[in-house]
Amino acid sequence: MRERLARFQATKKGRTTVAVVIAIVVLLLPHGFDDHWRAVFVDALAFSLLALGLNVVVGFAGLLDLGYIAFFAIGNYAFAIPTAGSYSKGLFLQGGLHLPPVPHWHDWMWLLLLGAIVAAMVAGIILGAPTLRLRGDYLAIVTLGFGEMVRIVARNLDSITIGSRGITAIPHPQIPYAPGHRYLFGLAPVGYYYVMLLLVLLMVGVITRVNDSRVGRAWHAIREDELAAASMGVPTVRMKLLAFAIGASTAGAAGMLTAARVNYVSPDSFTLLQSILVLAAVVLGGMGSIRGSILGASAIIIIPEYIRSRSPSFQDYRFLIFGAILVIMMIFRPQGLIPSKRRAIELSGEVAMPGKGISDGPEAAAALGEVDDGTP
Amino acid sequence: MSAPLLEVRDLTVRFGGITALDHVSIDVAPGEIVGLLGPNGAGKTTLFNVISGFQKPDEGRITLRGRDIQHLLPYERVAAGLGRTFQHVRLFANLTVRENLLVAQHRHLSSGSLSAMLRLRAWRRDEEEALARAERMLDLIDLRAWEAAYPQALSYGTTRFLELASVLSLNPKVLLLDEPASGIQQKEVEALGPMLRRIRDDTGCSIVLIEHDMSLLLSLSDRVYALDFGRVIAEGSPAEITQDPQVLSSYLGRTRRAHASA
Repeated sequence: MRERLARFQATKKGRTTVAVVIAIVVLLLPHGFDDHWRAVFVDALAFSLLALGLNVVVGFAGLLDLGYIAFFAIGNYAFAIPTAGSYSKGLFLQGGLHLPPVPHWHDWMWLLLLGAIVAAMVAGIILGAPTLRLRGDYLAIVTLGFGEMVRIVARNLDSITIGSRGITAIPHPQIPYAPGHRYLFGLAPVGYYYVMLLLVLLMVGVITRVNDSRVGRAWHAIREDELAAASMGVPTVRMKLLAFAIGASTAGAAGMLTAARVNYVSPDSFTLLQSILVLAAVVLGGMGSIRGSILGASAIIIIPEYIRSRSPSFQDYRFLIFGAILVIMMIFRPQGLIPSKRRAIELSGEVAMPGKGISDGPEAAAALGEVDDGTP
Repeated sequence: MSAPLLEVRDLTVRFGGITALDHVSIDVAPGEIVGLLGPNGAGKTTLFNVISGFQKPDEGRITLRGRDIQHLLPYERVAAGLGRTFQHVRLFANLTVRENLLVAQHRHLSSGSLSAMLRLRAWRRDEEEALARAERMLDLIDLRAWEAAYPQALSYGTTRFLELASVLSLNPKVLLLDEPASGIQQKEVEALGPMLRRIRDDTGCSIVLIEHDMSLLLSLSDRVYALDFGRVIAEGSPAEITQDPQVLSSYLGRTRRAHASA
């Protein structure tokens, strides 16, 4: 049965059928559930967006970013700071940003989305430009520090971010669709679900296409052997910066929409644990795999929530169970749920042939050590 | 001799107390094959690392085609016309032979991520050009039979040829080859000599060669520099160099003793 299914999926007709079924399920999903679950699905989509972006950084370019959630935070604040004041005078009394109350910020949702994307991208470039010359572990530490820095700044910059109390009363967006008519997103998750879905699909398209170009090949080369990539004429720093910028802007988009939906931003939602959960989503789904990132992110949001809803008495243990699932998963399927073709080859165990010294024989490593620090 | 294509002046590199290169000066003329001779640890690979930008020199100057390349990053030196191979083959193990060659086309393409996103004509043209260039290289270096294979499936000698094909894809003006014949079969060594000469004749590039296979090095080189303890101890034609007393004692003599005792 499974074999027959697999064979069916391999045909062109089979692939189309599977795609259509998935599309119908995803499109109708909010209608089969109550608002609580709809909100969970929106979170799963936002998390998918994060995982897609981080997958470009970690899965494609091989850069370990442990502070990725910072870009999500920047997206959140990029929407919250300019809009909150126009919605509620209360914020001004609390000492919010002293912008004149612009009455219809929330009409300009698309512009603000763009603003959040650009803000996160700029932050990514500012972080990346000086640090992407570092290798592996060092980069991980720097990004970890950056993530904490953004959270702590948000916590202490009382006059702009209202510190740890967070910004409340962020307006829900509205989209004018005809003269005199506008769609109000409001509190109901459905609208956000479809906008987020659109963003996920858009991002899948963008990432797939960029990966299928000289940029994607350069990322792959850098991930495998940066020195060899440079000697093949690949501008390594610029390509890494590009991966960073794409990853950051994706997180910025997810952040803006999340802030608009929950209309509350607090620095406490941008902890190191969140960064690690996004990374877990990428690893769980399969590094370098786009479909895997979405599946991994959805699993990380939906499974704990499912455990919680099925047995409320069990809810304190839900992350324990989830952690156990992750550990078991990594033992038995290290390449992830939907491995990328490349990673599957890397992990098949046939690659390590030290006698041939193709990539990383001990002597090659020694040679690297000799030239390592000299990279100007 | 015409004006040198690659000019290395007084290059000095120190690792702590050890002087790996001590005021090394080397000239490479257009279309010339220059051999570097010397025992292990003489500084040959360090010289390559400095020229290709992976190692910063403490002193000295490098010019390529009259241009100071001292402050260029490795990939910028590639764009300036420098190509190198490594003593231990460095390929992308998870890319096929063809894909390895595609990576090497990067600098010949111009479209960025935006045109890839929007599938602009620039992207399509670039993809086609990259493929065409890779295909040409597959034929030129005779790798057609392996195009879909991963490097791990190739003999060590074939990976050497693949690396050569990759670096040739860069259209280098100066090719730095670090022991291209080491670890490969005798049959392949014999094919290597004529191939390198053909590459030089076809592309007009200069070749700087580090090689321990003496017959290959001496038969191929127009001129030879002998290094020892980070210094150039002799320079001349292959015939002159094999007669040089200092070279005989420091290198050739030692090899002969090693052969005798083996």
